[in-house]
Amino acid sequence: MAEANPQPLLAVENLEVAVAGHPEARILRGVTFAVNRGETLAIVGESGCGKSMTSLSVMGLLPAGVEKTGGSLRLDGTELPITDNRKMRKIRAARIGMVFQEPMAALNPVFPVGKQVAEVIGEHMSLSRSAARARVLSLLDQVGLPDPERIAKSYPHRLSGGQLQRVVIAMALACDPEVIIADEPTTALDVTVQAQIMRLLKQLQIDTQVAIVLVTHNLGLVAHTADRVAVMYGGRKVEEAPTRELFLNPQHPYTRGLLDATPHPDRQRRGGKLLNEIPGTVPSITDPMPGCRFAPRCAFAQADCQAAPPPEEGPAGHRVACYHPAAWAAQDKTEAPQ
Amino acid sequence: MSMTPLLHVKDLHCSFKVSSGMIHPVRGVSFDLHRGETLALVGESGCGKTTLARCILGLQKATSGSIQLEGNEMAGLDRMQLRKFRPRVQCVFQDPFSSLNPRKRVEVLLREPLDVHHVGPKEERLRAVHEMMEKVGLPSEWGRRFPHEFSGGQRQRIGIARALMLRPDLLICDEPVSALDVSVQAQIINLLDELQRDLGVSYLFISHDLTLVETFADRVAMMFKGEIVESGPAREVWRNPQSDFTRRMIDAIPVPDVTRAAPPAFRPDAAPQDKTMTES
Repeated sequence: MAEANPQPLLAVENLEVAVAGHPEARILRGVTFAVNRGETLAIVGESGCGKSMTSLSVMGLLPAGVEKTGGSLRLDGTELPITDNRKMRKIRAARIGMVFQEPMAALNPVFPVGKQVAEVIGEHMSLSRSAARARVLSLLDQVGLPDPERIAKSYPHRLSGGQLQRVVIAMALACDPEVIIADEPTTALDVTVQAQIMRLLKQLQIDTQVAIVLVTHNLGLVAHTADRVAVMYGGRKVEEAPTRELFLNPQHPYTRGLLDATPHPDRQRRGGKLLNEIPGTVPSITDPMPGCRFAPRCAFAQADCQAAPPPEEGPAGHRVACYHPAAWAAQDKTEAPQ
Repeated sequence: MSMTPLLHVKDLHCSFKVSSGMIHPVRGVSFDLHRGETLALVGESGCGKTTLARCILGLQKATSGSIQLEGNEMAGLDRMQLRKFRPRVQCVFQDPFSSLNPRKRVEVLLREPLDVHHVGPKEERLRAVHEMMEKVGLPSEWGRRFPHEFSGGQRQRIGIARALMLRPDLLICDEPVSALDVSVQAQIINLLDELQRDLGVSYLFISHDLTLVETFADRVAMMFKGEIVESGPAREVWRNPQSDFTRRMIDAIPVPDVTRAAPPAFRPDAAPQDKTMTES
């Protein structure tokens, strides 16, 4: 898909983000990805890998004390003015919508939710009051909330987590954005509600061709909702592939480690341990290690892994940043009984 | 297994007053838990699983029903009477960040349970602390550090070590890994598994994650609106769910396997569901 379209809708190239005044504290170390219309890209990784910083960069919402130090962010070919808040305000919600992890924290507790959705519309669309009101009700209906009239008048604390997340999605959709960035949109929700929310996002995508960037650590969610997956570790993208390819033929040891550590029904216990763990913890962002940032935890690391960061290689569809991709294949062969 | 279960809960009810009236989060729950066994309690938020755990810990008074630890009744006891049971039932909490006092060094945190319950001679307590730290995979020289110097997974190891200091018979784990990343989650689950085989402790494992429970627990009890609607061997419940609630939950779980079809609840093309299914 990426090859067919010469210009992706959202293109992030070599994005570098660091702590302001501390260029050695590199949070993102050159992240590249692109999303097309109607496509879902999942960004996967564990806490501290930089996935949330990536989505905040695109929104121009990097927290104080953190700044972009390099690379480019383009929407439909035009560089995003992420440091110019006035210009970014015209893009946020209007062209890029965002769904946050905690719906309760994303909404203002002292205003009815309908008013908060209307505020987004008022900011970006020139609609009369009654037209804006009608749009709020139709949005609330579109995201599957029963009795939109009543919901619109409700304050956030009167609604359940799933209902609040639907309201947040309604806000993200309010101005027909081209891209939705959903940062852990269902992490705070029960599984049945999670399924409803993901199904809703999928349906909206079919209807509107919106591009979705799904930031998550839940590989199960990724397996059933994403078209492509980018795996991040230590501020870098370590692997990117179409979803099916990534799950069936992972190349990076970290990707494989993540897949193996995820509980999986019907899988037999391997050896004495219940789950395959990845030993150790993620490196600190200030850790100056010159080589691959996964090397200290990697069972397949060799001398060259410590020397310099591995470049991203492989065919356009399946990129991997590893000197010894799928190194376990050789090992499995020698260990196999026949 | 012995005739008397370690924990026997019979027709337990718990209700209390809140500003909007009476609520009744636990409605007649019964189950047995044997020595060295792991029973998982699975349900969605608000189903009463944490209230049930609080009743067993004696932190919440049950309205009626019976909680027996090796045949001894715990329900209805007052604080002083409960004191002798507390060392035998301990708890690991969900959030390893808020459940440790940030102003105390780890070895003090781990010693506290021994001090409170006057276990062993004072001079030997620190040695017991260091032994336990090694057991849960923390170097004993880290005992002088403060909680903020540890990662989430390491803090959960501290939480587990602290809960095990009194060598309880029963450990209640309330969502012990849901705040952790998957690779760290795997480390903690493997640790709990090893500790159980080593110490023979029983786990009441509270979770909303049925796929994890299927791997980790011996038996599972599915809780819905304050009642246990289904229970059985974990694998059996996963493969052959009997109740509507369990079936609906399994239908919504995205299994990380691309060779399977997406769960029905995920597919926009599947039959539409009642949109207010679990919401009120």
